[in-house]
Amino acid sequence: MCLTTKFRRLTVPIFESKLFFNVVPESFRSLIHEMNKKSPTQEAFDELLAWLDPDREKAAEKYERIRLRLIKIFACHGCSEPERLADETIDRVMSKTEWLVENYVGDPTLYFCGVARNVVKEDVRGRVNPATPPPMPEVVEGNGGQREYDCLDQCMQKLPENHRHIVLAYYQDEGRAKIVGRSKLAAELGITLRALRLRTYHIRLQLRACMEVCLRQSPTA
Amino acid sequence: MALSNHDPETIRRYLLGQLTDDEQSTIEQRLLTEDEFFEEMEVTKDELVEDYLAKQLTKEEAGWFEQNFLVSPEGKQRQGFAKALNRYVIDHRLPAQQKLTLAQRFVAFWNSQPGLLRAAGAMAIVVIVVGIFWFSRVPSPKSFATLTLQNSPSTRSAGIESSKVKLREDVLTLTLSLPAPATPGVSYRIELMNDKGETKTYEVPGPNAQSVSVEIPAAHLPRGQYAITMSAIRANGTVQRIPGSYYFTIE
Repeated sequence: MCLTTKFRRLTVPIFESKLFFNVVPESFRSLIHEMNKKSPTQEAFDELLAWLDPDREKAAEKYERIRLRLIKIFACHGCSEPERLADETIDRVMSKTEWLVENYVGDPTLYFCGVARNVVKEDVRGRVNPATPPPMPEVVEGNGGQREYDCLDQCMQKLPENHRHIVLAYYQDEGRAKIVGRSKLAAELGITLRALRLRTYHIRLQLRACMEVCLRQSPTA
Repeated sequence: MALSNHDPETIRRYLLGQLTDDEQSTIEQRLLTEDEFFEEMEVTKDELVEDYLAKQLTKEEAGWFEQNFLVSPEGKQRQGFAKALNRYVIDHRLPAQQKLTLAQRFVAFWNSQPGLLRAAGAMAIVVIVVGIFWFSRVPSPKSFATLTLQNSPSTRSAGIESSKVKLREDVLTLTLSLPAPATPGVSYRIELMNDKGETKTYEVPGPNAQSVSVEIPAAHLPRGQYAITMSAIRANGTVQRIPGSYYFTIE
């Protein structure tokens, strides 16, 4: 048995104990986890893809989809580094691929889900530690930054006229009038309210992507 | 699994931390495996940010949302976008809603009806359209005038008192008596000639030993004098002229 494996066997129970989370500072815990983690090799990655789907292209698509959705799930749990946690989840699954191939029955995607829940719990436990108070939300003062506004303005100009009209009309009203206004807009477009909701969402997606590019390009104040 | 009516509310509760551990796990499994469910969550996130900024969440909900979703990079990005969008919409308010056109009102009314009612409405429209089409192609009842003409052995109308008729009906039914020795044909060819020498030919089925009836549209019969000659068409295809003529006048 190699030294690292012995080290992992010895240390893993300690790292997963409550004591470890309450006593050891977050920065040190992360460092130990990084040291303890078996760095993913190309071979392990290939094994993971093969487990996800025998067709490599489909497997790669599945992998990307799982990663993106894990990031989203971690974001919903208030994790400040959802991407890192998604990668952590994938690494943990990857380290067990050999065993999974032989023993796991079912949709591989669901296995990621189980591992992700453990990762979330660990992250949450780390956050309730007094040594690491939960990060305060970054409140954007007023009505949003001028850079965001300017970028949005530029992106709105790039939208087709009918899309721009939909966005403006969708957000036109407030409170109870909003429901009536949106119903009218749906009727005007000859679609259901649900279809309008999705159409507006897809326009917002376009706008957000455009804004992201714009913000990266525009100089910060 | 298709999206159920309860799913949007369940996703909302998930994002507001109102689900049990098991419920969360179920939601996350569906998020990873169902595209439609995942998209619904993305839409709901935007709506929650919208509600949060409009202060439409309870204090507890807002607190949870701040401490969980809004602290994430994605939450911050969505909040920044929503704020910029709110400001943009205020700065670019649309003019007062234009009055809907009749067609838009109809579409609005149509879309607001339940599916079953819409299906029934569509069926009724189809029935009405087909009915209108059907009745438009069935000719309206015609009025008939009748006239019985005797065979005149003369080939000239002069000196013969022809039958007269004031034609106000749509069709004139002429009953042409066959001369006694005429051999019945399988059909008859009727040649109508007006006083200008113009002719029109009609073929009518036989056989009737005593007479032949022909219907002539009123449009073919302007005022004037008319002479009819008739031929019998035999079974072997030969045509035999029936001696004599028939005369009448349209007044």
